[in-house]
Order: sequence, then C-alpha cells, then structure tokens
Amino acid sequence: MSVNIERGKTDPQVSSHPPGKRRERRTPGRASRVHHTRTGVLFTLPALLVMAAVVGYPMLYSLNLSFRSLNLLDPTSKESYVGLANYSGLFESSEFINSLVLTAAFVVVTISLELLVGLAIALLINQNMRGLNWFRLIVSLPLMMAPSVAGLQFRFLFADQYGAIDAILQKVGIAGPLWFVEPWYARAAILISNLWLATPFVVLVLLAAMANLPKEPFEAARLDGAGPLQALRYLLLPMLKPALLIIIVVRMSDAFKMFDLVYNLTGGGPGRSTDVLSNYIYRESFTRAHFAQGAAASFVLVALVATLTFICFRILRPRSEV
Amino acid sequence: MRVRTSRQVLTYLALSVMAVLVLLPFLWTALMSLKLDRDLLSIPPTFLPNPPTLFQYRETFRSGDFLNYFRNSIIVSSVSTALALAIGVPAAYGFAQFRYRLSGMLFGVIVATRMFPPVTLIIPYFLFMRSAGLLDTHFALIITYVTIQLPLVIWILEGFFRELPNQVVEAAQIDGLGPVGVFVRIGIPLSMPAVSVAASLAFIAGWNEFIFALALTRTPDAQTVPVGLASGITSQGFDFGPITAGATLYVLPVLLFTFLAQKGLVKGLATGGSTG
Repeated sequence: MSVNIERGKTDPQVSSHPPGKRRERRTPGRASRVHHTRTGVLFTLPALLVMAAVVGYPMLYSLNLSFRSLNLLDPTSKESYVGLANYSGLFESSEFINSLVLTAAFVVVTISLELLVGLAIALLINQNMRGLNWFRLIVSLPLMMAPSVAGLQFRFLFADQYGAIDAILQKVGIAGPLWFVEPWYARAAILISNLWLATPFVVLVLLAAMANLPKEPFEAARLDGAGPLQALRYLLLPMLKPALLIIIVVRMSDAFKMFDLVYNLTGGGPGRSTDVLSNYIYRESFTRAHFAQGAAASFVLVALVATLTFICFRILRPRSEV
Repeated sequence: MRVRTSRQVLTYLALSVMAVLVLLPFLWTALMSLKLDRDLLSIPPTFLPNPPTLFQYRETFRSGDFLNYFRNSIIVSSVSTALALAIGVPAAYGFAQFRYRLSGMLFGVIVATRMFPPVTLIIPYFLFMRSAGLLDTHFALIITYVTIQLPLVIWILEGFFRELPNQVVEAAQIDGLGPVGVFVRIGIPLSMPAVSVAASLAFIAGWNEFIFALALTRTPDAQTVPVGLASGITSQGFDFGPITAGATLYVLPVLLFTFLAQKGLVKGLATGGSTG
C-alpha cells in the first residue's frame, strides 16, 4: 500500500490521489501527477517508438505474410491472401511435424537434465568451503560463449577418429561411436553440448536464490532429525520455487528457439534426426525461399512458447501466502 | 571430523571433474590451434601439440578475410550497443522512476520480446533489407542487434534504477534539479556499475549473435566472426586449422573479460544471460 504523505491536506476526500494507485512511489498532487506522467512518457517514448519500429512492425509484417503467398523466385507471381493455407500446409508436412516433435522432446529432456545437473552443482558450490568461488567463476564461463562457436568446439570434440572424446573412450577400452552418423548419438551430442551451454545459467540463478534463503528453517529441520534429502525435498525446493519458475520460463523459450548450436554441430542431420524447429524454419525460408511458410511456422513456434510460458506461470506462480 | 573432511574431498573432486568438463571445449580448441596440419588429423589424435606452433594463426590471417570478420564484429557490436544504451538507459529510468498508466504493461511487452525466437524477425528483415538493397551491410546487422540489446538493457537497468535511494533523488529535487537533471547528475552516476554491466552484456550479445548475421550477410565485407568461422566448415570440407585458431582468438577476449569483471557480471548474468 502506498503511504499518503501529502502534508497539509487534512480531508482525504479532496486528496487527488486515488487509493488504488499503489505503484507510485511518491504521491504527487494532480498537477504534478500530470507532470509525472509526462516525464515518464518522455523518458520511455524513444525506446517505445524504436521497439515498435524494429520489432513490432516486422512482426506484424511477418504475421501478415504468413497468410499470403509469396514467391520471390518468380517475379511475375502475384502476392495474394491464401487464408490459413500456409498453416494447414505445415501440419500436413511430415518434415514440420518431425521438427515439432523433435523440438518438444528436446525441450523436455534438456530442461530436466539442466535442472538436475544445475541443482547438483549449485548445492556443491553453495557450501562454506574455501576456494568454491573459483568453481563458480569457471562454471559461468560457458554463459558468455557464442553458442555457434560452442557448436564448432563440440564438433571438434565429437569428431570420429581425430576427436578427443572418442580418443578418451578408446583409452578406457570403449570403441567410440560415430556421433554424427547415428541419429541417437547425434541427438546425444546436441544434448550434451547444450547441457554445457545452458546449465551455468541454472547454477547461477539457483546460487543467487540460495544466498537469500533464511538459515533458521534448515537448522531447525536438522535439529528435528531431518536428513539432507528431506531438507531438500520439503524445505529447499519449495523455497526455490520462484527461482525455478524463472529458470524454466527462460530456458524453455531459449530451448525452443535453439539454432546456432545445431547449425554448427549437426546441421540438422543425419537425415532430419536433429532438425529442430528453428533449423526447419531457416531452411524453409532461406534455402527454399518459402518465406510465407517459414513465417507461418515461426508463428506456430511463438504461439507454442507463449502458451507454455503462460501455463508455467499458472502452475508455478507462488501463492500469495504459504 | 572424518566425515566432514571426506565430504570436503568429495566436493572438491566432483567440482574439479566439472571444471575439467567445462574447460575441455576451450582447451581442446586451443590445443588444436597450436598444432601443425599433420597432427590435427592424426588418428588417434595427439593431445599435446608437438611442437607447439603459431602456424595456424599465420594461416588464419594470411587471407585477410579474418581481419575483416573481426573488424565487422567490433563495429557492429559496438555501434549497436551504443544505440541500445542511448535509448535504453533513459527508458529504464523512466519505467523505474516515473510509472504511468500503461508503463507496467509496456515494460512487460518490451521484456517479453526476449522470449521471441529470432527466426521470427529474420524473415521480415531479410525481405526489407533485400528490397532496400541493404543486405550484406553493417547497417542491417546494427539495426537487428538493437532488437536484441535494447530489451536486454532496459530489463537489467530497470531493476537497478528502481532501487535508487529515494532520499537522494528528493534531495536533488529540493536543490532545484528537474527530472532530466536528476537523471543525468544523480541517476546515471549512481548506477554506473550497473550501466557498465548492461553495456558489457549487450556488447557480448552482439558479439555472439549468429543467426541474423548468417541470414543478412554474404561476403567478408559484412560477415562477422561467428559466420566466418561457420562458413569455414562448408567451403572446402572442414578447414580445422584456421577455424580453431580463429575461434580461439574470438573467444579469448570474452573469457578474459569474464575473469576480470566477474563480480559485477554474475548478478547481471543471472537476470540477462542465457542465449540460445
């Protein structure tokens, strides 16, 4: 609730400040509130105009395009509205369905793994021991990396025969697989590389959240004889819920739009076995010049991410009390 | 006591394994970049370069393309970062300090654009730039990078500006400073650390950007380093040597910077990081 600090005004009815406006920090009178709004608009207007021009307009253009036919390769062809034909075409295309299913499965698996591994690393680093800050620094490095370059680096690592991973496996006596020939190994290579890229984000957010947790409930639980697993299950995880929500929402949108890593690591292959949605859209648009279909597919992706984000917020949003 | 020490040993052991796994891709690429061609493709691979040589680095720079990629990456990332800051810093301040009726929603919309897959914007931008004759220019990349960096800057800084101590702002107002004066004389100086975090993260977002550059540039006149490196794969098979050398040079400044600026970055990373 905002605190009314208008001095000198005794009659609350005359107060120009409606009680519903709790977000304002200072509570100005009417004249100064107009001024306040004007200042706010002036500060934010340039950014709003730029965003409308460089994001809003292209999005609308692309949305409009997704209902039209466009053939760049044939200059005589006329653009025309085709209704939902581009969209229905997508769902009749086995290629699109394949990449949709593949991407959805990838998102589920990768986020589960990221949360498991990220939580384990965060719990290890979040101890009162010397030198652990160094590990925190090291683990944050992949976050600064270009995913496309990480794709190249992992391509060197997974390369058959002259790659490091198969060489190490060989030393232990395991014949390394041909990572980029077998679909499941190619998918595993992408999962591993993506785990390397994305887990640091999970670790850092969890560490930041853990640093702000009160110590007393854990002490109390320990005195009451709760084991570490019980403390994790009944204390830590519920307390980390807001952080987990942020992680899941951010990572979900990132995982759905993954492109750079796949492009450099497998290129969607072998066959179409790692052909994630962004890769499909890029190929449809820029290799085949099917821009309208590409635009339609990209809006399916947007709708999917938006819906799932909304659902996540509904399920995981912390109830006001509890 | 013994339980505690063995637990410590296990922690260090597990984290060391993790550290090796995290560093392996960097190390392997750096080691490859120091090898001669015959060692690069030897089966099984040799782990250490014997003898270490800068041959691949000389190769990388001999064609001149790589210098162009570097120049383009620097120009495009710094100009777009400057633009994003010039527009985004005041906006973040406005959203944080002067809320108006729709400001919360507008802020939410701006931040939500981060969720959009970039591939959605690439199609219209390709068609716009194509009809304007601006494909393969720095301009095309600068404007598309702003679409990524501006929401990032606003998102990171809005939180910091919201925490500006109220008393300082009010004291300045009593001293007769108007809103712009307070912003320039108080807001910006007080949040300089945050602004530099936002600036570095925006720059790195541009530096690392791949898909816009891939779609909108064609030649070394405008291609950035990530695209240049990726094009090394397809042209003549897989040109290991120069790619590893180029990738190492490209990653090194970012790694060094992360080490130096660690403290401030980690907080910003947790909010604005993760790409993908």
